[in-house]
Amino acid sequence: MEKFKKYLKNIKVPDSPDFVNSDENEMNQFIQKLKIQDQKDRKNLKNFQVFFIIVLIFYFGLFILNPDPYLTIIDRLVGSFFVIAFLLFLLFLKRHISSYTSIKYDEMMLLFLKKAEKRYRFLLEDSYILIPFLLLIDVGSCTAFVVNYWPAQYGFISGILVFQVIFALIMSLGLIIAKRKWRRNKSEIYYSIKNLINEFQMDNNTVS
Amino acid sequence: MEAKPTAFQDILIDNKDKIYRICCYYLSDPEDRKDLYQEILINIWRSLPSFKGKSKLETWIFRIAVNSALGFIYKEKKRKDKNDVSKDIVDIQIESNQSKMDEEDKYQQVLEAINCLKTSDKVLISMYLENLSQKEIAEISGFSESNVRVKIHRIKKILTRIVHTKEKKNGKV
Repeated sequence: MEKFKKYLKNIKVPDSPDFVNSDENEMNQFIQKLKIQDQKDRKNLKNFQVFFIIVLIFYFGLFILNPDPYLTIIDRLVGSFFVIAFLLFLLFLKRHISSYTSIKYDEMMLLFLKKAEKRYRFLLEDSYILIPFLLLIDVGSCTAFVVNYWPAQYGFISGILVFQVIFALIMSLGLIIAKRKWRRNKSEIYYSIKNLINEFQMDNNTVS
Repeated sequence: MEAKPTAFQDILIDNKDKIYRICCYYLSDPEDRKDLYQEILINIWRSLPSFKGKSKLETWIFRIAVNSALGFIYKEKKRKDKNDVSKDIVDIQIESNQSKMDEEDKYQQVLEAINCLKTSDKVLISMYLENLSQKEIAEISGFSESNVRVKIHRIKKILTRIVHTKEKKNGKV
């Protein structure tokens, strides 16, 4: 084994332009590329945040500050539900994006793998943030639907029930599409991380 | 402002061959090695601001390299089957590949055998081969020192068995 270790010491980075080597120009070019990429990433994240804040301000103005006399209290209430729901969704997205952009590669391996496994789950750990978001959208849309579009002679209760059925169907459809997308894009990675963690933990237990 | 590039340059000068060797332990395809090498450098660059000097620089680099390699492997769907190869298949592959084997060929074959080990075995043996202490390996992997010791002993046995099988096949023993 010691001879093999000595042999390994002779393995060097290939002297090829494909590999960043100790050459100063090459290294400076690589560092420059990294700096540009870092700036791009930061800019994209900032643009994304600015976009959502602008939309949020727009909706706030449209539904809450708007002096239009035809805008009823119910409309304003529904609007505030949407604004709050949108704010919650923005927080969720921000958390979600930062969990991808701030992956810590210098963590202990098992911890790194466990965090990766959480990132690739179908239902993320912080998905609970979406429950109040969905409730607010549901209540807001349901109120708007019953007040503005549902014929009064059928009664409010039946209007609410019809809307809840439609809402549940749309949500279920969304869930099915999301699950299919996850299966196609992420499930394989998720299960291979899970297997790897099991492999490590099994080895750990066997040895213990 | 220029501290990060300077630190990165120093790391690269001192550790580039080690980083490349880590790529060799995990992957056999030269193209994949190149991609992983680049990815490790990028992750070192991105992690530099969080290096507080609590652990040795070498341990820190290894941690990034190992995590990058694992990340690279699980993202490479096409690699999946290859990484799940059992040690029996490793033996078959090694046996079928050999003809005349001088010392260098033999080492090359051992390196190929390492490429085909289970991922968890690769992680440990790569650090052992880079002369990291059991304490450092435990620190990087999250295993206890005694686990590391037993596991490395077991992997060495597997590799020795592979080499012996090859030598027998060549009529050297």
